[in-house]
Amino acid sequence: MHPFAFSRVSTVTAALNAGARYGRYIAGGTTLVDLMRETVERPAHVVDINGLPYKDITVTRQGLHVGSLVRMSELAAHPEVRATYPLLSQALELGASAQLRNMASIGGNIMQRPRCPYFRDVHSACNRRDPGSGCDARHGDNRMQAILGTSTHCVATHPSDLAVALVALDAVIQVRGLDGTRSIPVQDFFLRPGDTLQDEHSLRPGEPITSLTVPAGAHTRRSGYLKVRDRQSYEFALASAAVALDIRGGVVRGARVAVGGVATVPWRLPKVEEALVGKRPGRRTWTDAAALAAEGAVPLSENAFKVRLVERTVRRQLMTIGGQ
Amino acid sequence: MLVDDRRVNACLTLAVMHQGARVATIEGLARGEQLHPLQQAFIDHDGLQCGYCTPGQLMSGVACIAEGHTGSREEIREWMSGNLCRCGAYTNIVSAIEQTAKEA
Repeated sequence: MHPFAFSRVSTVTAALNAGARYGRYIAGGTTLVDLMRETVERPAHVVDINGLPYKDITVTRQGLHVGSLVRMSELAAHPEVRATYPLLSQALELGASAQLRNMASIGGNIMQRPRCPYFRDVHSACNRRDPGSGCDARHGDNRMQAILGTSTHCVATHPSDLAVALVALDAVIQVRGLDGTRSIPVQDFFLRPGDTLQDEHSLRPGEPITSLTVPAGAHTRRSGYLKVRDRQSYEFALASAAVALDIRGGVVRGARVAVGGVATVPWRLPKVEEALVGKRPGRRTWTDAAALAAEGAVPLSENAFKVRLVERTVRRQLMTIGGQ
Repeated sequence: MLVDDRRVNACLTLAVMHQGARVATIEGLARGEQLHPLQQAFIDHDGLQCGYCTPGQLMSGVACIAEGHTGSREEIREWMSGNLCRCGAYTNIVSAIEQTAKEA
């Protein structure tokens, strides 16, 4: 680990001033400290924001409001979240380990850096870590890499399960800057690897996430997360599916579907959703819709299996949530 | 280790961020010569071989029991996942936690 300066802030103003000068906030630290130990991250100054008042969970008729410093374990275990937004609890508890979930903040979870082994190895070429150096993953060990949303610059999957659930549920991220607050729909928050790889998200420098909101809806109770992986636990997804369905009167009235483990950003599937709405729940409907899950996929040498895997993951989760 | 009774990964924790917090490590588990029940259970069930992972397994196991995530062997396995044992003592670790939870 490289030497770094450390300071702690307890007011929003102090955080914004420190952020404007140094830029690196720390909350749970599970990503940042890990990458600092690998020397992938070398911040000169780390600012502890755990003293800020972003720690509340509120459930109202309008929806769910979660402070950015709430821990993964706290949000997952919240009784009203479990009952009304089971997709969120499941996505959280299928990620990481109990210790990590006690540490990791909700804001930090969606700010996770890539888990690509070439990103984490400072001796490999990686455009994310060192723009312009190339991408060793593309023609290297690419079994875990993405098949959707990739570019010639980067093929790393987005690691967050929670983010997949949030994208499915149309969450909105609230951020605070020196000029005031602004809201970013979660779909616009994550940026695909384009020509400016340093921009993984649409936060401006020094802008902390303060909270996120998930709008209420008839679909949230009938929702859940399926994560398919090499190991049953404590492993990143090969493919995952977040599904929320509004079924009334024997007809699918509304559908939200997003997938993880296969794309460079949490990946919503509007065509799958369109294929579900207005149909009768059942095996035929689920199978036809899930067949569209990998549309546009560009597999690499070792990950073509993810095309069928993501289709089947979506199909199985539609069966689980919608009934067979 | 436990910080304010919650299990966390020591390797990802900056000490400076926990000023004033109650920190418990393996060194604080026994009362003098009196082993913590989970330590005794690890001996009874042969829950270790080389011992390298044991401090983490014990602290995580203590928290797992306190959290109530011990309803079945399956539940214990899921909530202890992330604590790796290269010797493969998992079955016996689960038995030790199961027994201690029952007696607690």
